[in-house]
Amino acid sequence: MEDAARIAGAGPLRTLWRVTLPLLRPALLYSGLLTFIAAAEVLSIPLVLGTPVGIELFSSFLYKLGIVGGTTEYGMIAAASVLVLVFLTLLIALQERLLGGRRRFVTVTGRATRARLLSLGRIRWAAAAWCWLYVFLAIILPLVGIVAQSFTAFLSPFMNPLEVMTLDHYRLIFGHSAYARSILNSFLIAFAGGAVGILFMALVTLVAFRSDFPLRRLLIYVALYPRAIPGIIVGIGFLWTFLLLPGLGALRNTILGLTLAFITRYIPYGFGAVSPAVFRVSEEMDRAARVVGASWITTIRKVLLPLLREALFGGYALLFITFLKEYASAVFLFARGSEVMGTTMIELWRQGDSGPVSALAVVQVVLTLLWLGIARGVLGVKVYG
Amino acid sequence: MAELVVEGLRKRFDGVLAVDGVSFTVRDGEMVTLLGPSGCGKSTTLNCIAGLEVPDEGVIKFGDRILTDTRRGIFLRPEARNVGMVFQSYALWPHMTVFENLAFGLRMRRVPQAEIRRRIEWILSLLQLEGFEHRYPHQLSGGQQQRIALARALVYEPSILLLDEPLSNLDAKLREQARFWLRELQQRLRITAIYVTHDQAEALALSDRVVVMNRGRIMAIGTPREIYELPPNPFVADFIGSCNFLHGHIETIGEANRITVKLEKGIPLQASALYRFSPGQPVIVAVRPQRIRIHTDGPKETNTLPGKVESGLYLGASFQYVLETPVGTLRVEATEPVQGEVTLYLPPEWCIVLPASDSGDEGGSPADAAT
Ligand SMILES: Nc1ncnc2c1ncn2[C@@H]1O[C@H](COP(=O)(O)OP(=O)(O)OP(=O)(O)O)[C@@H](O)[C@H]1O
Ligand SMILES: [Mg+2]
Repeated sequence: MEDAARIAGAGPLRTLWRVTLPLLRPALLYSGLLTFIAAAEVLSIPLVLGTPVGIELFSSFLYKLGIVGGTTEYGMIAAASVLVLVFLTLLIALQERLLGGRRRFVTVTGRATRARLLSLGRIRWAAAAWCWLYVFLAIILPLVGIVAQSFTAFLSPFMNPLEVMTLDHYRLIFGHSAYARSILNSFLIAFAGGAVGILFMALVTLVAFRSDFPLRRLLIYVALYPRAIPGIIVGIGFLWTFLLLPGLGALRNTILGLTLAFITRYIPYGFGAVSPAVFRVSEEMDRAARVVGASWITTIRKVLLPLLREALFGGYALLFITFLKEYASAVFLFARGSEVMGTTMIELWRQGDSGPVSALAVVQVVLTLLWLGIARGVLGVKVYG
Repeated sequence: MAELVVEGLRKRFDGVLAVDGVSFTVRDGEMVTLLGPSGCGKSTTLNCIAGLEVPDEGVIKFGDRILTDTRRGIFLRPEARNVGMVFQSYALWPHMTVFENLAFGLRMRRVPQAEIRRRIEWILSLLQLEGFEHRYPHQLSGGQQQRIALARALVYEPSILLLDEPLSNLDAKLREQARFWLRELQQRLRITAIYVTHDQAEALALSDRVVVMNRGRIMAIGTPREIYELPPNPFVADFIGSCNFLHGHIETIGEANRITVKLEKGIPLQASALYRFSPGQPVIVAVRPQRIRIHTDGPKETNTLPGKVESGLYLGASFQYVLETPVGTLRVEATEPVQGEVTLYLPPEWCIVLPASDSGDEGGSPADAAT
């Protein structure tokens, strides 16, 4: 398709702007939606950076109201969640309109063509510089800070960090059995829970867009709703579920219970990662499989999931990282033995120890990079024409 | 074996009647084409037969097996129908090699591995694609992809083959070749087939019978010759090949379907009729450009018209002229070049009288006739 635009006389920039970007619209809309809601809901950044200088956001307001204000007003938090939910419903409906006629976004049609890189010409240096600047400011700089903090007794602009170098923080988190266990637990949840989670989320997406299930349109909304519910509320919800539903009590305080809560909370992420890719695959792909004799589920297994490999892997990476970091929904669900890195971090932070927290963060980053590198190598994600 | 019967098929999409009461039969081993302009409901009809679309109304039977019956609430899932289908986009699965694409349907039928190998070898040699087993679809040319798509639909020996514009993505030369071998293959395998196209030349060349559709309805069913030579209404006459239309009234009805029609300005014309007419009835006479003969200074017989050449096109095998006559503009195909004033002879057996009221559609005037 990009070739057609080039032949029609569009330069590389115009091709990007008029053809490639519009084709990416489903993906852009989904990530936009998630980011938007996340920005409204995220707590840690406004709490740490905003509150001290008097910038009050929706989430930090809620936090003060519900948790700091003596008695914990879960009702109030829940009411606020309902507000976000209504808002989210409107946004999804708007998005459904913007994506009307999904067939427009089909690019995997079964008439195979070969992909080609788009040469940006002279502006490619500027584009690359811009990307690197962002990466540097938003990722590398904070990361350097965290790494430095994790290896020093304390970090201050008035002291040469090399003089206060220490491995104490790492000794603490690996030496203390509860802390070490939390690392292992988090890894297990991210590793296995992420894989199960992304498959489950892919299935939800495929039922929503590629089945004749009568309530499939409703599923589009339901799948995105968890995004509007603060993690703490999700945790409390699961706590009550485990307590009240007979037979589920055993899940309480186990990492399996935590995994369930995490998966539920991040269904919107998986949905957002997989559905744009689903739109790109022509329905004739599934129809062809059905006609030659495959049932719906076999079609999903043998044709659609393999075609969605790239997106599934991307979603898995996303879930892996999020599960490794997740703490909000774990606060009410963990106990001795089922600690996760997030809860450990909170505990250490409460004790005013930023060094070990940084060390844990470094462990998270290293685990993520290592595991994703290995997975990519082993799974050998290939790009088909 | 068995014949396919479609009865009273109706399908509505968001208020648009895509298929409106379609009924036809495909006999055992027959190749039937669904022909019609874009959006007339051909694909929808085919998808209903494949089970990919659930019709609002209608019955589809194959032999004594009922595939769909909306009254009785019967709907057989597509995977249980044992049909083969070739899609316009080919829909080859890009993550599988040619071998895996072909083996998929066989595996679904639990065919043993050795037999799978044998069958794939057989179909690939039949389609002259030996040695392509381990290629991926993107490593094949358009024509090869098209043949693999056909092989995938045939390899498990379906009871009926459905083709939705399978040749429309090929270039003109390749398409002509593909027509021949597709027809030859279908006859060799004696498989019952339904072929969807909007290309009338393809329909005439390929099929035993043609079903002409327009706006969700059937306009004509017949052999290619019947449809071409004795079109039952102006829409069909115009859609298949090109046609001149002359307006007039029935004057007298003679023997052996011979009718005299009074054209505009009182000019009489001998013509043939398929239907019963009564004197005075308004009619349209359809004459194909290839059937009109040009005399430069011939004797004045009956069924002649004076004409003046307005413009001409050289088509290679023939010349096509637009002539001004007392009854309007006519298009005529000739083997020799002509110019100036000529006499046109319209053979009565090729002047088909059609009812003027039952036009079925707007496609009446020669000016916008498709070529
Ligand atoms: N899934 C759908 N949703 C809504 N309308 C549809 C759908 N599929 C088909 N239609 C409409 O039904 C009508 C018939 O469509 P169909 O695809 O059967 O036409 P066709 O004869 O195959 O045309 P073409 O030659 O262009 O493929 C068209 O007006 C089309 O817009
Ligand atoms: Mg069609």
